Amino acid sequence: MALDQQRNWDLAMAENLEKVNLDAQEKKRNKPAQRDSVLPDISLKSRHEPKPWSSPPIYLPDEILIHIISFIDAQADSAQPTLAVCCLLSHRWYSAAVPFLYARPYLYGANFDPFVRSICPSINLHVRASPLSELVRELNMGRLVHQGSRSLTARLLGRTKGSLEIFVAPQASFAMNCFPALAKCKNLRILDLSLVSESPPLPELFRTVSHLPKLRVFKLPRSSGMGTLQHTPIALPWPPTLEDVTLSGGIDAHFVHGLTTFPHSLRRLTINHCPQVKGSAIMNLLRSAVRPLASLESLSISNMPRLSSYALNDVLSLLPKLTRLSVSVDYITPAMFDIGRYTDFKDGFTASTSIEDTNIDAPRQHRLRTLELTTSGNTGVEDKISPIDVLIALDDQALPCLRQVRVAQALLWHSSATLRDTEALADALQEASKRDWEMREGIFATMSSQEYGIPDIWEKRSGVWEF
Amino acid sequence: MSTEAEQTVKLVSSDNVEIVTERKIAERSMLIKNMIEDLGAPGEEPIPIMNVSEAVLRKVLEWCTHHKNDPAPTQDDDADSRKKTTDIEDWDQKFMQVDQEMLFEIILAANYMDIKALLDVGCKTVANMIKGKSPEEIRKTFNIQNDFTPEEEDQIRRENEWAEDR
Repeated sequence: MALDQQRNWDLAMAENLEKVNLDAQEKKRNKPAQRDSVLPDISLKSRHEPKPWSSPPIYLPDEILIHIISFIDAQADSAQPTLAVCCLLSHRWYSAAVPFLYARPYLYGANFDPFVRSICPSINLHVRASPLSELVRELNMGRLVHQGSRSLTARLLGRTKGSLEIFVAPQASFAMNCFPALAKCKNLRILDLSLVSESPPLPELFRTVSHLPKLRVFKLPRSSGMGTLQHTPIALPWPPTLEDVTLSGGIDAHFVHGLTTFPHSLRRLTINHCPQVKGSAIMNLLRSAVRPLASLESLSISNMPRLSSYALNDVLSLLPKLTRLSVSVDYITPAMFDIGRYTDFKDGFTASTSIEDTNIDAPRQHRLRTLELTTSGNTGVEDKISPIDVLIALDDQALPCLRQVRVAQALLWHSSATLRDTEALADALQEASKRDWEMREGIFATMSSQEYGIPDIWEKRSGVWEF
Repeated sequence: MSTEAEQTVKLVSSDNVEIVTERKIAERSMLIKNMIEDLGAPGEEPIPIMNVSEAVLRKVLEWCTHHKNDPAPTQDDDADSRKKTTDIEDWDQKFMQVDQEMLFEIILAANYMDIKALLDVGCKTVANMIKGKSPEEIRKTFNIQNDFTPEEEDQIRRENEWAEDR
């Protein structure tokens, strides 16, 4: 018995030893393979456990430190705390990292107060200015709800005015007292007021903004000037280089009529959430102010409760040069694609043009490449535009350049009833795109040869998307 | 007359070791490419790589050999820093599994020899190693001297408190 135990023990030990040896070999063999399979970050982190540095320090020039930090900065999700750590390493690392840390601060409720303390250590600028405030290029206060106050927003704008390029206003704490500072943000490229719940008066806002020489994107407050507008049309001054405007909120017919001109640099126009604007006012705006815009490429209209179910049928006829249109099906019918309507309408509005012009100007000229169909929450709009309607418009050459159709999922184009039609439309769009590719026309005409050479590029740039 | 692909060039490291390599491989380095263009007649005159020791130069050439057929980089590659990818391909990851001294030497050599893609891989590797570490750990890893006074360090900590991990 005792002997058996001893034998068992020996046997087990021998087995164990064998197993250990085998395992070790196995590990060695598997190691490279495993390394391949783990994600880059994890393998890198676990691999370099701080091993003491044996030789004298190696001096990396500043431009290399900055290059390293730019890669940390690119890791959007985790960059901020890591950049803060880099600032603590040494004087040289601090100088390299601190501009990245303050360029686009990620602000949320809890860190807003400490951030303000760093940027504005004292209410009185002359007592103590922080050099850090000069580093802020993007100030996004959109995630704040009840933190801060209007005067604090004004003060932040005032401290960052020299360098600020992007400003997203907070919901609750943006008002007229921010205007003087805002007017001095001469480098501002993007001004997003769409979250502002209580809008300052629009005429003053426009006067302020019109002095910003570099402003390209301007989104108006969702509830702009509800009830505060004077009831006389006002001529609105626009910033000179504006490319992208979003009109929304409490603008009404008076405001829209006041908009006799848009800046000629305008390329994208969005009109949404205007509870007071009627169809006639919109059409009037499109006809008198939008149609003359030579460089306008993209128009989107949605969430306009006072528009009728066919209010925007003439949009394509009015604006044949659009390359992208996003519209809620709530306000259109398949008649939108009728070529005939163009001449109807032409008689009505531009009777002065001769008949020869009509031929040149005919729908052939339509440049629409991307059509986006959305919904603005009305019920029973799913059937208003079907894939077949778009397919017919494509076949009839009403929209000869159409290659992309994007459609809201709520419109149920993927349902069993329409799925085959949707697929037919997608095929037709891709076929047309392939023809473009073969002839090197359309978007392929200006494409770099590198991109043109991507396999099946024509397929990737055309079709039907649901979103 | 040999074609360009078969031509060889002679490089001389800072510690005076001659290394012969394909011209195509050596020309991953813009410094060498420009030198060859200036000198003409490649292969005859040895090219001095003044700031790079033999060990590092061999390592750099190993990378160039693997990447010799990569497409030439386009000029406007990093116009927008936010488009930068932080991914490193598998082979490069393994290649960069060296001690930190060598990693820094490779970065310096890539910078000096003007091999942008290698410089990027090196810097990305350092960036990934910094992620998730405390300042003290990073200093130890890369032999960085803390030249802050305790007061300064405290001040910076307070200043950047808002940016710390949630």
